[in-house]
Amino acid sequence: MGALDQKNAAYFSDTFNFLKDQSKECIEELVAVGTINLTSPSPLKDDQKGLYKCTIEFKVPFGTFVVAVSYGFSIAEQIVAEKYQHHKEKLREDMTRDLFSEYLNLFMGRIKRCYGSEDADASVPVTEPTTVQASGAPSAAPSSDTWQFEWKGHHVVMVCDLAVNDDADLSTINHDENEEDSQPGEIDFF
Amino acid sequence: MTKDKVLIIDDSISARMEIKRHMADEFDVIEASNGPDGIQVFRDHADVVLIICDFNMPHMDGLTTMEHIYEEHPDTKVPCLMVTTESSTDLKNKGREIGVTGWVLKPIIPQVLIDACKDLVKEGRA
Repeated sequence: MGALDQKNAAYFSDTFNFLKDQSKECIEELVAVGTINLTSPSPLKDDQKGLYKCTIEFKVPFGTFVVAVSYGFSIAEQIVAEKYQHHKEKLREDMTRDLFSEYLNLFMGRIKRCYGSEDADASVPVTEPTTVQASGAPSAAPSSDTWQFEWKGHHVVMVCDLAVNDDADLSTINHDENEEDSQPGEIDFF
Repeated sequence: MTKDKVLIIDDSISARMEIKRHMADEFDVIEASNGPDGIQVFRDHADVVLIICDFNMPHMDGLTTMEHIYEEHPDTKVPCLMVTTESSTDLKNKGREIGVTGWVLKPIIPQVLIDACKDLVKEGRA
């Protein structure tokens, strides 16, 4: 591996570590802090109620992220039931399926702010049933990574691909963990 | 006492439910799950006093939705809060031009949103 490749590989590694931390903080908007863990990757377990995959694509100044979250219906159902204090049997299916879409929206917003993205295209998460059990195995490609959350015995697998723009100089790219001028929840009145 | 009517336009049912469960004590909350529905619901409910609108929605984004509503009802003084994960300056400027009242970055802080809604409704009556 050449020096430039090593530098790029280090950049991707740093970026994905940052994304893992951010994705964990975002998921803690849905579940109690301290109850979810980043774990060693493993294949997603089958779920009698079905497996789903939700994908979002968004631009940052130096490239495009495609992020997919794969999960069994049961974990979404349990999170929604606990969050809204409903019995699982009374939950609407579309509401349960919507949970990780909203999660990816929050994640996208946070990452775009961290990288100062001014991209104004609306990115809408797409959720589809899947029969494919997502593999939690880490990707061999440096521009792609896979990680997994564990919550109360359930697993959620995240896969992230980054396509870097041809003219991007990775050495100049930084993320700002303290993010933006406006903080989530605050209202910017015009 | 009759509660003031607030319209939430958001394709995410969990986002609508999250806002509704915090606001239901103070407001009569009605919902629309996309832009075109929101435009129709606003037509059908002349007593709506505030709109809370998401930006990222399929088919029609929140700013286009509000542009349609304000064009169709040029005399309306109904304020709108755009609730979104987006913080692009261009989008905020467009919102300002259209007549959107404020920009709320998700995730919401329920009490902050409720207080702002109450203030906006009170200002609208003044």
